[in-house]
Amino acid sequence: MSHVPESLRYSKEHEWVRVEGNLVYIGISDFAQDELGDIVFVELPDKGSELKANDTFGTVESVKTVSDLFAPVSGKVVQINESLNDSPELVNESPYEKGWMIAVEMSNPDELNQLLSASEYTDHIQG
Amino acid sequence: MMKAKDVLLWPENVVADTLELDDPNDNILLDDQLAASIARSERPPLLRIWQHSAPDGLVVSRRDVATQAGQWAREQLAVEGCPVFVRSTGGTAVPHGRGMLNLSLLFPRVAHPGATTDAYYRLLCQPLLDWLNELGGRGEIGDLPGSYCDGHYNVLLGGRKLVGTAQTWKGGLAGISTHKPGYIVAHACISVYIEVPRAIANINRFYELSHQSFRALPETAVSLHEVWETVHSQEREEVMAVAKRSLLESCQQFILKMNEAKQSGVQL
Repeated sequence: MSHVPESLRYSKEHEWVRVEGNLVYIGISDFAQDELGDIVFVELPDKGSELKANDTFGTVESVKTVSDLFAPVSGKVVQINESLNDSPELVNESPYEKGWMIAVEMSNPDELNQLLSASEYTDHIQG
Repeated sequence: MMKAKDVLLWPENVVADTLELDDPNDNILLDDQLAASIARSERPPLLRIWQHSAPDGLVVSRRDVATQAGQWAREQLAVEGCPVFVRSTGGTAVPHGRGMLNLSLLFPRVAHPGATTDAYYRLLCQPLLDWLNELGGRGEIGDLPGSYCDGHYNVLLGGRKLVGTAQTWKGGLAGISTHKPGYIVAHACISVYIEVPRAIANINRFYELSHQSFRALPETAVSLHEVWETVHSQEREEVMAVAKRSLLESCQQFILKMNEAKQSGVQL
């Protein structure tokens, strides 16, 4: 059973969002990391990049397979998790904490309303 | 190798073709361009059989060149006469050059619980096993510690690595249903006519320059021409032409078999 923290919002593409004021931290869900398997590489955007909701912001590699990451909200990337360069396995080990990927300064906080609650996301992954 | 349920992932109107471009980099990137076009329903799903363009060198993943050391290794190897190209699929360094034949499965994403990376590896490897069987060999699937770009879906011949495989998924995370359109590139690189010791030395030089500890063992790899008696005395381009033609024919047979299996509900 995947862990789905109540305090976070989720995209249908399995990214989670933790809101801290106008800043959001973004990663992938426990369900997603479990489905992907051992993650060996995370490619993230440069600090200062502008993201648009639903556009790709990076890639993740597991089982010799590369797949896209999608931005759940629009805004400017203000932090990236540098520790994933050397330790991408943190995404598997601690998807909601040490495995966070980027922090974004939102340009349109209303986009948060498009995201799923924990219970809605649970239904989504069980559906 | 394949599982019966994998038939359900087989799309309609799959074709096999030998599309190639002269520029080595464009030739590698053509997989993604074709797959994007397939995802937009602009062309049918494709089994692409293709030969690398010259020159000999390496193909690495984006992970391999994500660090400064990786970038340096790429530049330095080029200076040493071994150009390093970058692909979109995962994994690590593999040989590049006219002696390498490739099979790319370029399919649109489907929202199906069986659409996993394992399933697409099986769909990629089965026609290769069929082809090797037609050539008189017996391929096996499995990992091989010490081999270049190792993974669970190497195709081995006589216990040595003949084929490496990797994938790219666009439109969402691999193996997880999504409402977004997208595509899957499942790619196999086949060592048909290469000098294995030289290719492995290049791979190991790349990782040495990248300050990575991995070293491939030459005894884990094989080139098809070493064991394919029919073509033993022929020149490289002749062997490649024979191999490409026979793989194309084998893939065409595989497509017919899959179409029939899907239409009749027959389990393979």
